[in-house]
Amino acid sequence: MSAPVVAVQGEPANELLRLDNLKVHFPVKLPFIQRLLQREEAVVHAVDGVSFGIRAGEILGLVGESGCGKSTVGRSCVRLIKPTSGRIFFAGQNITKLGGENLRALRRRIQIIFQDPHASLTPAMTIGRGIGHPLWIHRSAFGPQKSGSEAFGQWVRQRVLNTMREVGLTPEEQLYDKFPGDLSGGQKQRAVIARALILEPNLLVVDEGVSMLDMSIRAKVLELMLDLKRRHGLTYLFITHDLATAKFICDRIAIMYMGRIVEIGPAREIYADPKHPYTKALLQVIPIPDPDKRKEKVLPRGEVPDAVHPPAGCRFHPRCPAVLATCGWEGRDFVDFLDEHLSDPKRAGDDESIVGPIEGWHADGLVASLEAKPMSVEKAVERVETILAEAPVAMTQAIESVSAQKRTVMVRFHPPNQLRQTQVQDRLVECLLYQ
Amino acid sequence: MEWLHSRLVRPFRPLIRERHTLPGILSWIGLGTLIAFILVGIFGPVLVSIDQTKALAYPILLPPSLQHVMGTDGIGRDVFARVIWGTRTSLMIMAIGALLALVVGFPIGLLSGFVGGKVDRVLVLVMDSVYAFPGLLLAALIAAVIGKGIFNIGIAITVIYIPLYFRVTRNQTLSTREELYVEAGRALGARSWTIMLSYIAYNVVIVIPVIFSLSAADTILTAAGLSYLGLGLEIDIPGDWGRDLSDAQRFLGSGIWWTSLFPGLMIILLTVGLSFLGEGLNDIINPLLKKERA
Repeated sequence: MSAPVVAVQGEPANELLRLDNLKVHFPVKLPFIQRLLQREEAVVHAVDGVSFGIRAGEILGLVGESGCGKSTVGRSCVRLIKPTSGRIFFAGQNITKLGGENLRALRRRIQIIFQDPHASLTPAMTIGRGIGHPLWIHRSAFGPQKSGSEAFGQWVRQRVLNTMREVGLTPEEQLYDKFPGDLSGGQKQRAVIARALILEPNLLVVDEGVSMLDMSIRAKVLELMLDLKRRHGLTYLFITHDLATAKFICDRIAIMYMGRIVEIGPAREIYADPKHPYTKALLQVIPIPDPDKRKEKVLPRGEVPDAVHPPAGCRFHPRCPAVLATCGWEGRDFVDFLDEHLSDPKRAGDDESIVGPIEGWHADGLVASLEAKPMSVEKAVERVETILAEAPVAMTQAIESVSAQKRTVMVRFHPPNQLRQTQVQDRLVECLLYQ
Repeated sequence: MEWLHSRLVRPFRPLIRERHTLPGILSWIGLGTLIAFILVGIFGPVLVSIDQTKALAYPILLPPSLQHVMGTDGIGRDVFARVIWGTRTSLMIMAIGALLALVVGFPIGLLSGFVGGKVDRVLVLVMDSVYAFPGLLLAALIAAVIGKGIFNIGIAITVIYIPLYFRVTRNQTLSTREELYVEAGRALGARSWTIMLSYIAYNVVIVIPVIFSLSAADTILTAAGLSYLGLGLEIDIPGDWGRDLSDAQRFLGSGIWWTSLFPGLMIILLTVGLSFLGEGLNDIINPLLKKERA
């Protein structure tokens, strides 16, 4: 399964949005004392080097578990979050550091729809006023209508009513003076779409835009989005955790895990034949409406790791069913393994007294170490080797040496291979299996 | 039309919906009391001649009778007339004090909560140090400096209540600032100014009726307290509940109850009414806030 390594280069001219190695790190708020004690500043690596492009007129799905950073990518695209590093291009223009009036002008062209339609609407504004408010905000941009407040108000009202009709918020005359609290969830989301649409943007970022709606309404709202795309030539960045929704609406999808894109390509191909082990695992959890077709599930083991200290190498390696020796094993993987081993009394036996306690182990990068009792260092090394015999093969292979230095037991790992995005057939995959 | 509706009718909707619950009943009793007092304050002095409130208008210390329903006091003034005219005085002080505190405290609180940072920290520090002062003492101090009179007392009281409005507005602004619709407003391209006025202020205003009622009740007590201590109004004011109460206390020992009972009763009625309104509104509005967040 080896494919030629193709460097990711070139920006097709018709790309509407391009992210170039985008990183967003959030500082972790620590109590004062802890901040003094900690040497380095703790940051959450919400987005850690994401690059992709969206062609004009296409729907790109950004899919991943909650907490993988997909919403942060979406909010960065509309500049609600300041990127830590990397660049964002919109229609060829670098918008990473745009501010003031230029940023305001940009917001007429990129709009975002949030997950919760109720919270997105100001409770104090009527539906009509809320939908029309963007026009008032950007009043100076609508040149000829500028003359006379009364005339402008009439013009806004007419446009709001037209847009409401277009998104199916009818009867529009009656709903115009209602407050958000009086509307149903589906109607509220239609109002949010209308408000985003009234500025006639080019790009619409939909951040879990239908996740809170129930199934019957969800399908209708998705149909509406497709319909609007056809009529206005819209481009979508569609962020969701729901693979079934993404399959329905997206032309291409990008799978995200812990702030990195692990696989990106045409939706149909990825659904038919996922390459990255994470994509495979993710696709297996889509329910298939046929009891006979149920396959065995290879769910990823364990929890999503801590984003403050993401795993070395491939971030998925501690949970990956197809993990290799070169995927990024490091000291703390060994400590985690030992912890699991020791907490099972049947397997552990008297191991705890020789290689324990688990709190005595320190993991620092590729090395895990234990201050042992003076007499038993050699014995501990021996026992660690015995225990490792039942460890995952990939991890055992990744270990360079288990040794004793004076009173310290050291487990040292080989450095991981460099991970690159690789062209596999028609898509990009970030996995050593294909490198 | 929509403008009028959203500002005049809509705020009363929860009050009408909750009219059968305890907070609803309390609010309506409070509102009724307040309206009754306002009517007395406006029309009372028109119907009751000011001459009856002057010294030596009648024989002194007459018990309540048909001519003098609340009797006369130690210097021959009609207690009923004093009480009616005192209503106007109290309401004026209340209006000046509570309104001025609102007009000053609300915008500062809004700005402080919205801007945040150093501005916020300095303002909170200033307001907290004013708040830490005992209210009556501070008012007495200011009154002693700027002198007597309805307007001056109103200002002295304003200073006590600005921090209250400031705190409540600021806290509400801080929580509203984090709402999704504020972020949505920013994504729409709204300027900070627009966000503050169109998206935040609207949703902060709803807490104002509650603190307005409660601080108004407090205002009445403080004003009466100042007058009782002799720091309040000029001697020739035609009605002043606090001062009348103060004058009446030396007769209490001789079984003359009417000169102190009626002014005292007025203070209690108005204060309790306003408190009912404030507490009732608080119970009605706060669960609504919670529900809307959920």
